[in-house]
Order: sequence, then C-alpha cells, then structure tokens
Amino acid sequence: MAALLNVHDVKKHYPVRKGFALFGSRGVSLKAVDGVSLSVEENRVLGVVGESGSGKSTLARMMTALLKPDYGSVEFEGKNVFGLSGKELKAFRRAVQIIFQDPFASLNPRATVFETIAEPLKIHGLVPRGQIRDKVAALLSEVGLGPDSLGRYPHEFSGGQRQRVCIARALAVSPRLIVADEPLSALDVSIQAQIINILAGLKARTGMAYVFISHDLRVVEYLSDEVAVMYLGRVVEHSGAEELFAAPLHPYTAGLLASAPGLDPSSKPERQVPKGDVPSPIDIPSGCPFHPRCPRRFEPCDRVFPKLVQPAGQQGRVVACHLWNQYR
Amino acid sequence: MPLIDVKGLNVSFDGKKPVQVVKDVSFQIEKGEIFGLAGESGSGKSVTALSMLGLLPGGAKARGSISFKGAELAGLSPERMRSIRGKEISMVFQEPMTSLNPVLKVGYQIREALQAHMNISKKEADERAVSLLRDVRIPAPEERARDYPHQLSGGMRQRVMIAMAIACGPSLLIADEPTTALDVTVEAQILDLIDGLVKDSGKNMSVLLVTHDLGILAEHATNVAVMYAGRIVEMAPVRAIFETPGHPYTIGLLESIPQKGKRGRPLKPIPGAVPPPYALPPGCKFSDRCFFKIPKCTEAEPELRPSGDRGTGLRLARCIRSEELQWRPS
Repeated sequence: MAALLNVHDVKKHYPVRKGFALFGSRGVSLKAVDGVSLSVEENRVLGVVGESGSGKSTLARMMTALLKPDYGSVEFEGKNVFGLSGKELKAFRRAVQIIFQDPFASLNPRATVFETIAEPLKIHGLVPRGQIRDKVAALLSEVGLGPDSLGRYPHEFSGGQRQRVCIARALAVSPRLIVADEPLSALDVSIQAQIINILAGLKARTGMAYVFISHDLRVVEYLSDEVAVMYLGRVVEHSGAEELFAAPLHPYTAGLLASAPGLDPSSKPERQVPKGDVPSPIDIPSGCPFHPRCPRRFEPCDRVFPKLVQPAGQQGRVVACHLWNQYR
Repeated sequence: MPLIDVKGLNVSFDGKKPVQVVKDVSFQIEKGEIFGLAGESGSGKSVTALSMLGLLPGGAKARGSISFKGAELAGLSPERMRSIRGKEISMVFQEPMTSLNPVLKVGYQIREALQAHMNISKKEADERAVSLLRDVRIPAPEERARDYPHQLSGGMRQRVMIAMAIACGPSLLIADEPTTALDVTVEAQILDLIDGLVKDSGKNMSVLLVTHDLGILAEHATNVAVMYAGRIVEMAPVRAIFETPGHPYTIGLLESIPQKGKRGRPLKPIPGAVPPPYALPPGCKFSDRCFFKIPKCTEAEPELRPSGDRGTGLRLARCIRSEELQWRPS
C-alpha cells in the first residue's frame, strides 16, 4: 500500500551554549532528532514510543510541518510538504491534524467550544454557513459531548472533556491522518480509557491513520499496528506491534517492556531494567547511544554505531543493535 | 499492634461552604509492609497522606485519630510533630526538583536532615550522607554529594530525596506519587530501590505508597486501599484487589487499563467523570457512574464492610452488592 506520509532521514539539531560565557563557552548541538525515517500508511496506526529526550515530540512537529527539519524530507502523498504552494499547504493542513498533550494549553480560553470547532470549518469552507451549528453539534456527539457544550468555555470543562474538544476540532476537517502527541498523559486512568475508545472507534469508522506518540507501552500496544521505538533522537527498533511486544529484538525495547508494570500481583517477573537515566541529548554517548545502560553490551558497542538492519528471518522488522548484525 | 492506625479520618476545607475532601478513612499499616493507596485526581489520597504528617494546608480541618506506635498524633503540638516528621515518619514527594533547594549541594541538604534530628558532628553527618547516597545506589557518592540538584538527572534527584527521607531511619516512609515525573525505566529502578530498602530494613520500615497507577501497586504493595471521592471504597490484600475485586469502581479501573496481549479488545471505561466534592450524588458516591447500580444505592451511603474471602484474602468494600460481583481477570 502506498504511504500516506513519508519521513525520510530527518534531522533536527539545536545549537546550545555549554559552560558560562565569561569562561569561554563552546557551541554544541542538541540532537533532538538525528536521522529518522518512517512512513505511515492509510488506516494504520503507527505507535512511537520513547522516554524523555527521545525526540518523539520534535518528530511529531516535523511530521505535521510545524517545524522544518535541518536535513531530510517529509512527504505527504509523494510531495515534499516544505515545497508546497499556499493552496497545497492549506490542503495539507486539512489532511493532517495534530492533537497535543495538554488540553489546557491547546484551547483558546476566550473562545467557546462552538467557536473553537467552527473555525476550521469556516477556514476550509467545508460547510455552508447555515449548517455550521449542526455540524459542530454532530462532531461533539462523535466524541461524546452533548449540544449543551456549544456555548461553554474551556475552563468549564474537565481535562478529559477538553481533550474531547481537541479531538472534535481535529476531526472537523475530516483529516486523513491525526498525529497525537501524548494525548492521554494529562488524564486520569478512567478518562484515558474513554479517549482510547473514541480514537479506536474513529479509526474503525473513518479509515483514518494515526501516529500515536506515547511513553505508555500498554496504550501503544493496545492501539498500534506497528511500533517505532525511539532513543536519543533515533529509531532503535521498528516492527509490527504484535511481534514487537511478543519478542523485542533491541535490549532497550526489552528493558522498556520489563519496566512497565503489569496488573498481575502473583507474577512478578525477574526483570532486567536498564541502568541509570537517559543521557542528555547534548552528550550522546559514542558508538551505540544505548551502550552505557545496556545489559548486553559487548566489544564494538561503545565505538561502532549500529545501523538499522533487518535481522535474518525477521521479515518487516528493523533493529539498530550489534547483536543482530555481522558482529554476532 | 500495627505501626500506624488511622481511624475515622475526616478532612474538610473552609470556604463559603466547607468542602469535605476526606470522609471516614480508616486503615492500618503493619510493620515492614508496603501499603498502597490508589485513586484518581481528587480522590483524597494526597490529603490523607499529608494529614498523617501534620502537613495539611491552612484552612483544612482534620478530625479523627492517627495512632503511631501506640501514641496519638492528632492534636500534637507543632514542635512535637516536627520532632517526629522527618525522623519517625518521612516523605518523598512527586517532583524532586521542587523539593530540593537549588542553591545548596545535595550532601549539605542530607546533612541538614541528619543534624536536625540527631546529635552528631558535621564530619559524622557528612560521612553518613555519603553512605546514604550509596544506600540509594548512586554511583560515585562522594562526588555526587558535592553536586547541586540541577547537575543531577530526575532519577538521581529522586534518589537523593529518598536518601534524605531514610536518613534518620524512619519507621514509616510516605511516598506520594514518587515516580510520576520519571521515565518508565527510571520509575522501575526507583520502585525496586524502595522495595529493597523495605526488605533490608528487616521490618523496621514500612511504606505508604500513594499512586494513581494500579500496575505499580500490583507489583509492589502488600495491601491496597482504593479511594474514590474522599472515601475508601475497597481495601484488601493486593491479590484480592486484582483477582477478585469487590467494588464496581475497582473493576472500572481495571477495565480501563489496556493489558498485555489484549490488543483491540474494547476497553470498558467508567462513564462520566469524578464529580466535584460539593456535587456528590446522594447515597453511594459512585452510584452515578456505576454499572451495577440499583435504586437502593442512592438511598443511603453504604458502609465499608467485610465482604468475604474469595480465596484471596479478607476484604472490606463499600458496596451493598459486593458479594454479587463476579469479575475475574481475563
């Protein structure tokens, strides 16, 4: 199937000064995203997992053309999104929507729910003026909010309800792809489940594709068709969700899975949790960026960078680890 | 005798209309156990924890009894409470950066905690601080003691907080969402560290682990109390909570969490949202969201009562239909 969105070898580096200016600071770069290639197909959910500093939010902003990569390309239906004409860009903005983590910060506090959701409909001229109100009410009911919400302001809603408004706003333009950047992490568990069901239901009904970015493996496993695991600005493993969760190839993926608590008190597995913290993306370790924390590191890991390779007999999976290439 | 025995704790906040945020909370923590207090935002779990330390904000009124090693804590003078807090009962908070003083070296801050409660010299305290940093598995503790908080990662800062909290050998460590601000891999390390400290203490330290994440409690707690709208709705040994839950709210929480190997199976979330404390429904406070409700539920608020052993330990549940619940993990 043809890819809807194609991200090819994108990099985003930020210059930072290290040290105190008076004593001679030096310019270094923070490598937020350092060469990521991924693609999203129609009606598929690509889960992106990573801890803080993995670059997943920067990637989301580049995928939605909110941030221009320093290197590499982002293509939507085969066209470079940073070379689009005004009209084409408007069409792209309609086709690709984003939902942010914090529903408190992503709604205009002075606009009613009606105004917030009607705005994209007007900008894109999708509905005749007279029908906007009905359309907004229909969108709200799609996310489980009643028409009584129309005239209310964001502060009158709970976090979960605000996130529903954000989803309704994204849905207003009938997008082909929604990039959701940690859409659940500000919400309580019982509310998270409500939002997960809304997202899963929309996918089944509309055939929309998602990029679902999260640090919560349980949710990513539940929603995704395929999963990319990021670490310090790079993809370290990418494969179908079932295969990945059944048998992770990269020691970091295995460590993430071991760290996520299960719900069964009578089975507490012996687990290998990665040591230490995620290093700063300003000082990325040499060789394999994961080697200082890796329980399975061996000779080449601290000096040779492992490329993403497809291990023998692992169709459709790639992993960046020396365990899986010629050094084995 | 349990280490701490909380009986009939009620907390309300002043205002035009006083709001009751904790209602009739009673539980006991045994020596050497990790007791889990679970709940969503607004459930009253943090207020319960704070009242055990005498740290409620101004305007809060607490009633009830908190008996610690047989002595009553409620109504103690601030001076007396201060001598217990940090020594006998200590606390680890959610956000390690805001709980540490940014302009003081971490070694100094641990020394300060030691000297506040113990009569030891500066040199002894410094040596103790380094050995505490070693106890919480901080590499190169001598050097880290000379670091400022901003030089440490989030996980390291939380380890420093734990070192400070265990500095005076407390009998009870209250950890309120200790890993919420941390990455998953670091979260697992910190929880394993707390587990290890409890085991190494030889029943001399217990932990009250307050969290919104049931998964954490499944792996680390011995007994669990689930709170909703300021009340304990279910309290039982950890296996009973997860294998044979006796309250519809507990079941709702378990059904809300996607589980390993259950891809695509629809979740059954709890409908609606937690009502604010001034707009709770009559009778059972969960009745407006409950899948198991009958008309009788709204007549009177149910008691927290024993609801039988189902092979997983004795439980208390605040539900008149608790015995009828048949939910099992699938």
